Amino acid sequence: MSAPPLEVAGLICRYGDFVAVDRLDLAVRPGEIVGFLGPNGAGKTTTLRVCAGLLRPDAGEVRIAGHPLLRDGLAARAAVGFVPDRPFLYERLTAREFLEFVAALYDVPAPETAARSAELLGRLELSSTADDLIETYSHGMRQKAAVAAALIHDPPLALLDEPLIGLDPQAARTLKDLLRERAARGLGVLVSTHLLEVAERLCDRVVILHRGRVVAEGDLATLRGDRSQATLEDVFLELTRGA
Amino acid sequence: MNAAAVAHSRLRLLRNAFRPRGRSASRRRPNPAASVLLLGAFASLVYLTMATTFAPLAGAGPDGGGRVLALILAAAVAGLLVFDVHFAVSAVLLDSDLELLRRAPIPRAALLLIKLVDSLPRTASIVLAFAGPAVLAYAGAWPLPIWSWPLAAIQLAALWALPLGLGVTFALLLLRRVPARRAREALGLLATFFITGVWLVNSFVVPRLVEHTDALGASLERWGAGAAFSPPHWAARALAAAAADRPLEAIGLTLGLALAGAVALALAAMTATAQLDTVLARIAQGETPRSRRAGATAPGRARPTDERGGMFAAVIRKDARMLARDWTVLSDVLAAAALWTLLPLVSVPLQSFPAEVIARAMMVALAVALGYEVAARTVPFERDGLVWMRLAPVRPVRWAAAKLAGAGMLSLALMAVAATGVVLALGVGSGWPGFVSLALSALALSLAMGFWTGIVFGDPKWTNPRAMLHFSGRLIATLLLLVQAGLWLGLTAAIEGFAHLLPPGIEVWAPPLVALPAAAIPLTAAIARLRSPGWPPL
Repeated sequence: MSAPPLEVAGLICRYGDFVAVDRLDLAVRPGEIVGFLGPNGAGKTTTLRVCAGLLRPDAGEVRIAGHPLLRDGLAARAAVGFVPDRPFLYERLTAREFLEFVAALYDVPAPETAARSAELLGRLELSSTADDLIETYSHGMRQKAAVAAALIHDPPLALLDEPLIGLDPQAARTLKDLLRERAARGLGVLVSTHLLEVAERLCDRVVILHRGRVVAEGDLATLRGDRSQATLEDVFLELTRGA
Repeated sequence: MNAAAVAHSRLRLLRNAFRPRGRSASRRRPNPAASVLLLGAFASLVYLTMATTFAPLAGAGPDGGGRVLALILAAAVAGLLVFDVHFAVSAVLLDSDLELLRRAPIPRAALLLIKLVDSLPRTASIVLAFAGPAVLAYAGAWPLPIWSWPLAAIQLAALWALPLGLGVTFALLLLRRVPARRAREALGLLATFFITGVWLVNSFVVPRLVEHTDALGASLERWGAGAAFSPPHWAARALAAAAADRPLEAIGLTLGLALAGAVALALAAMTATAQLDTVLARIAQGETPRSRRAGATAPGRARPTDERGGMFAAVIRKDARMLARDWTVLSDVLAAAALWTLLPLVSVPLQSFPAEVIARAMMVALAVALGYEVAARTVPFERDGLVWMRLAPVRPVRWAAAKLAGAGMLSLALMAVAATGVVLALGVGSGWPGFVSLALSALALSLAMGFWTGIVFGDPKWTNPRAMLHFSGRLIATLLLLVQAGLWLGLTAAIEGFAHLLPPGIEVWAPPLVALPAAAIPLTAAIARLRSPGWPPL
């Protein structure tokens, strides 16, 4: 049996005296799309950045596809694709060149790079502008380029921080389809979003974070409990009231 | 608008920059207090230099000294125009709080004023660290009466307001028609040409003038005659009048200068009232034509990849592509390489050296400078893309090696062109093995130093190609540059001086023997920094 794409145990992150993430336990199982919800400042972005290897935790362990992030960082990072809230792009490269560069960083063989690049650019409707410099792209097109870069090496785990912001409905649908296809292939997805209806429809399971701690976790039926008519929004607001 | 409350909040912003709290407290950022200290050190250095300049001119009287001061103040105003106006314009057009301020019921002129105040720490630095010390040094040579000191403060404030007011006015009018990015690039190139001009004048004209003091006096007299419409000259003449105890003339000139400054700011306020929203809307809509294609492939047609060589080659190829497409940075690097190579020629009018010595000095100057001009910039040049080094499964050592290889290839190409020119013009005779060894060793050490500087002080949010390092980084890089030049010139002088005591061929193997262990120190520090959790700063 393959290792879970993501296992987080006892994660603590501080910014000076401020505790952003407090003893967080979290897992993404193979073939699962997990929604990561929480009010602003709950610690979602910090958690995602730790899992992507951009921030070092103060305590706790993160394992990506079985590789401990701190002790086996290279193998762990090779197994992650990260779409940050603010895309990290090279303005003076074209989208195609950018994908080729990122693929090289992840050691993707050249023929595979060409095929994956063409597929992702096509799916995300960037083919016609793939040879334009990224500096000419709109916000939505940049977001699509960032998604393509995160998935170019087909990682076991995709981390997405508010990936739907700035995408038009068609692109948002395409991205959701891409994520579902990944899950169907047994890969893991952790997606942070403020769009509760998206989380409700897209995610197999939801983790609600509040002040750095998990306050609820499970599928919608579990979160609803006795209140069968409650929406995810009702549950979310009840759990995070006073935030 | 509650002006007092707004002023209070801006002061809070400034205070928080010095005393970061909360999440920002733990992030590694350049310390503003260190920048202030360095600025103070720089101001002291300028003061000492100016005092040394004014001392021999004591016989020329306050008016004669005033003509020299006018040139210095003119340089400060030009520096403000070239280096800092774009910063103020960026603050007016791109700051993150603009949306908030635009929605608030405040006049556009007040918004402009707030942003000009926000940009003060940067835009006032030339006045505080260059023009101010020059005035103090002038007062040291020709004491100013107490009543004239408030006038001096008004003059400096007006010299700040004039270029900023006119510059912002011009920029707002320009940005109605020209895309902001192109305007910024043009300004970057203008900065390079300005430095080139100042450097050429400073290197080739001034030494010849100083050589003949009569000619200096006549030249200044000639330049002064055409300066009736130059505000820096009004300021200098006002100070000279004060020093000569002519209060009416001093007050009159100061009032004229203050009026000019006020008119410039008023012009900027009027232009902002009329044009700011139009320009901001244009920027928000996106202004770059979509047709800016980098390749010749037809739309929608997949191009087969030609990428080979893995991560190492990919990093070099990516840097080469980005450099080739960034014409301001590329032209700045080329211009700087030419200038550094020519630098040793400055000494030629003052003292004669054998051609071989000058050739060697030219190559050492270029090699030492390439660390700052190429290796240090290769890191912040990536901007936010630096994060990929942390995201991807790439060892810091390999990333550093790839970046240094790219910097080395560009540097070697520049060195080869320069060396060809130098050898053809001056010749190096039979000492060419030592010449090559010295140049390559100096380059190796300087690239290592520059790479460390770029990693520690690089500013991924740079807007001016000449300012890719934070202010403190630029000062430290300059210091390192001087130390390295001193090291290599000292080493070659020692080898030549003690040649009869030293083994033969030492001029070939001694430079790498010094450079390689020395380069290991900054490289080790750079890689340790790359491994540290806070790098790159997000």
